[in-house]
Amino acid sequence: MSLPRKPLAPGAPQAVAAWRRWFVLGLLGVGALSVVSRAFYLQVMTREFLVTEGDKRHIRNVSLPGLRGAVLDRNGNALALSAPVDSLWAVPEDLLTPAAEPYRAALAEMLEKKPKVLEQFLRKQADADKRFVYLLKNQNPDVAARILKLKAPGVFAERSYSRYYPSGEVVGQVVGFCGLEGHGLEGLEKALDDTLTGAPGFRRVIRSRDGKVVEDTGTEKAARPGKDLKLTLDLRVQYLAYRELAAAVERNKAQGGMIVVAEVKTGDILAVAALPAYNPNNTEDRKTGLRNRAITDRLEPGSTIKPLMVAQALETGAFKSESRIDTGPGTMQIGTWTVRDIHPHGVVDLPELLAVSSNVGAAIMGLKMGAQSLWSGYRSFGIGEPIGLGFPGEEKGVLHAAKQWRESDIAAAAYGYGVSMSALHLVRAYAALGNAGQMPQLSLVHRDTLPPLRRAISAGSANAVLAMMRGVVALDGTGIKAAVPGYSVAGKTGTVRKLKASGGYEDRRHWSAFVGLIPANDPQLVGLVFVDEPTQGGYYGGTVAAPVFSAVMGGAARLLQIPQDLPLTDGAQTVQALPVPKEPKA
Amino acid sequence: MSDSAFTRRIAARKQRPGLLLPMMLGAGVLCSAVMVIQVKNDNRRLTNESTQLRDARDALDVEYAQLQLEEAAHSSHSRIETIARTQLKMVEPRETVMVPGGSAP
Repeated sequence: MSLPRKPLAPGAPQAVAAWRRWFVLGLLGVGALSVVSRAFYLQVMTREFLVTEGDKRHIRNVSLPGLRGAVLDRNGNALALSAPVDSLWAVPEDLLTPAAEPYRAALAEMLEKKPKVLEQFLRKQADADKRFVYLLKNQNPDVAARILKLKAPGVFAERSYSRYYPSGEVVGQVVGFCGLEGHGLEGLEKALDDTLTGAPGFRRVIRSRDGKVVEDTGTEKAARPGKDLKLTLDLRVQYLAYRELAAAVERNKAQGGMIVVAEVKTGDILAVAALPAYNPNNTEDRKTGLRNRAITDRLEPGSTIKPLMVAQALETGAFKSESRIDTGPGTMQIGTWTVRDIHPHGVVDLPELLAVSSNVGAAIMGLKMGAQSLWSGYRSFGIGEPIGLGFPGEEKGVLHAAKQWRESDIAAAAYGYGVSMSALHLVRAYAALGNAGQMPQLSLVHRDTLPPLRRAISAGSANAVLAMMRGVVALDGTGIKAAVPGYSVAGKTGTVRKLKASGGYEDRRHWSAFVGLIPANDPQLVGLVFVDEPTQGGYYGGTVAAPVFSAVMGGAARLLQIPQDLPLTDGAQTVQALPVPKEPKA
Repeated sequence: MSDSAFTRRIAARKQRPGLLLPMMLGAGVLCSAVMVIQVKNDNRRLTNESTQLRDARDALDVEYAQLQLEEAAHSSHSRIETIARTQLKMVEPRETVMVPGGSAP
């Protein structure tokens, strides 16, 4: 039995049982321990996971696009441009909720679709468990912005960049085009992809719930835009060349053709076009005519090689300008091979030989010079050596070793058969003839410093041949139609029989060719025109290709303000005006 | 430490009012807190401004790209030639006299 507790006086300290004190302290201790251990768990054990999950919810990487560089002509006109486009995409489920009904209708109207059709489309995608579906691809950003203003649930825009080619097929084959991933697939877009491609960057930001950027984390990698590419092409000359070539192909009902205009002293290519062409803006059109035949195709030069042969003959001293050659009845038998002239020309000197383009005369010269001499002559003009433009699929040309040449091969080589090259090889070799024997390095891309010229032949021989080639563009020459009012012209016609697929030569299929220099007194431009299989209005180089040369080079000389070197009243140089050329397809 | 020294120190404490330092620190903390808020606010405002400027720049870039395209399309040679030949009835002169030596205007 215990004594009743004596009531304590008010205000007096109460005695507390010791166990209560320990109990409370214990409770507090457990509480503190659990807080600390929880903190340890969160701060140490699961820190990584929580930080990343947290960041995922508000830190966003905003990507900064690295724009692809533009392709410009020598005057800064755009040949290829990148412009932003928006694609709209949607989460089908979000758009299919009943609440989204009015949005769906508005969206359908903006997309010019029936609401039912849109709904069915979305339903199908949703049933297939698609979380992502494109509503609109690569549209003008204005259009996308207007649709985004609807604020329809689950509809988002995605920015990308499309490539545009304002000049279309006029330079399509040179510039090429890009694939869907924005990398070059053809032409210079492919060859110089590394230069043009930019590197994307990113910026790390903190976003609020409504998507607004509220803080910059300071982590940023700036985007590096691709470099602009400046070409040597002059769009004005290129357009003129393309237009005239297209007109000639149509006028003569030809298969196609090619044309090149280049600067003699620098080797800058001002225009290079080939038909058939394609419009790189049009994906459907990107199937035929992809090759720029002037760069990638191999052809036999025919008579247009004769000036090179004559230059080598003068260089080696085998012939002199006034040497006389008896071309006899206009035919010559070498084994089973018959060399023919169109008309018999009798005894000719070298300028006459070029002016009338005698095959027999050329064969006689070639046979006297010998295989080795011809071969080394052609070689020094760069035939069989790469052009070095860096263009995909560039043709190098074929010049077989002189040892393999039989007599008939030597004769054929002298007037341009059995050796093959691209059109650019001819342009480069003619540039050497026009530049006192110094051969420039051709280029499509602007160069700040020019590579050194290469001597192909002595200045004396080059100038002598240049003077002879002026006789081609004279009243009694084959190339009178290449004359340009106000300018002296030197050049050479060619009518080249095409190779049969089965071997041997076609009887009725020709390349009509003209290659020449303007102004002949001090050549600035070299031009080449080849028309493939003309079937109407003749097939000779002098009737089909020469007028194109005249129109293009006359226009180019005027555009580039090359001083005229002849009075306009010179009777021999006045040509009949051509009919107004038709508009090429735009 | 001797007992007398300890009591002397206690006595010294009692003489000086001991509230000044904590109060100064407290005020400092408050000031710093307000400044943090201020800076944070400024940061948000400026970030917002910079975002708007970035957006404006992007919009201008888009417009520039489109204008470039438009310019290229309108100045395409084939278009100009068509207009010159059909609407303006212009013809190309076959013979041009080039006057040498003149300075370009």
